[in-house]
Amino acid sequence: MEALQIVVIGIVATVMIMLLKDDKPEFAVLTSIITSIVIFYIVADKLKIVVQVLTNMAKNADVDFVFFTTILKIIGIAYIVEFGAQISRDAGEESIASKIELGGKVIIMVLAIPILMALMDLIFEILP
Amino acid sequence: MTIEFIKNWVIDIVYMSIFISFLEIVLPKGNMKRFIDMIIGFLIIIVVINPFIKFINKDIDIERNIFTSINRFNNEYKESDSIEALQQDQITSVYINKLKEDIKDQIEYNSDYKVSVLNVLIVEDTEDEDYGQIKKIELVLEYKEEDIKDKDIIKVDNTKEVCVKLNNNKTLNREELKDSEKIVNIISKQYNLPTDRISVYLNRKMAGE
Repeated sequence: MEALQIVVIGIVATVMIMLLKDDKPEFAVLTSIITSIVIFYIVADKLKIVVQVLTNMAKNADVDFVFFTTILKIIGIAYIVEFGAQISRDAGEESIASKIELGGKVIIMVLAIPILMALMDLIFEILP
Repeated sequence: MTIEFIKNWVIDIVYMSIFISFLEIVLPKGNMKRFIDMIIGFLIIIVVINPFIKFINKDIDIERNIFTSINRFNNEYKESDSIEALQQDQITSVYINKLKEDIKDQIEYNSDYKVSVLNVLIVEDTEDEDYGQIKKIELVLEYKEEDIKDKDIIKVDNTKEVCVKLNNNKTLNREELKDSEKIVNIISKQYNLPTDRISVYLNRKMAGE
């Protein structure tokens, strides 16, 4: 049922944006932002189940909890950054989009540094 | 024992593979994917070599290692904060010293007195919107003399701690300067300060010498 909802919202938004693009391009951007938020809101509940399944899997796979939270944070950041960058790109602001992506990449790198350092220490400790 | 070890290891790897394929579905496609792939690569390496670490050396705990490196980075951030505070203090002290020098020059140029002690109290709270404004100026003057000894004494005036200065002043034998109005007006005009915030004293001991 949700799939139908999402598709309908998507098609209606697309048609609206096509109609608005020529006369009022600023409203076209707003419509695309609102559509993205509404679609995300519809699937947010389902996403909770996915995260739960991933948590269980991570526990079974003996992946430490620190890694798992880091990975989830990184996926979240990647989604948000992609969302912002796509909207900027749709509005024709390529430079802003690349700046948003740069910000996201730096934050992901900062989150990954503890894992990287721990791995390096580990490998050096194992070596005879 | 060995079979159990290998079994656990294989199970870990299988779970990990399924976990990662699941993760791949959730991942957004785009420029970010390369970065996430790299981190997933680290994760795979850790899962693959983790049992060996337990096998070879029981002391190594990878989770502890990660916590220590997270703490290390947090500490570094804190240090940079304290450096910022230090820098702010230095800016304030340089500002006060410049102010003192300026006031001293003004007085020595415009009057017959030399500045013996000069205390400047400013708003030191950086959050305050009046940050840097002068709260109070306290001057202890002495008569100008051509004696080199006097010049040496004058050079000793810039102490940093205002409170300490005020305490020291109590020991000085000083009195209200009678014709202080001119000096007060000079400073008041220069810094746009109410005259009641400027106190001028004469160092009697030095004047008598």
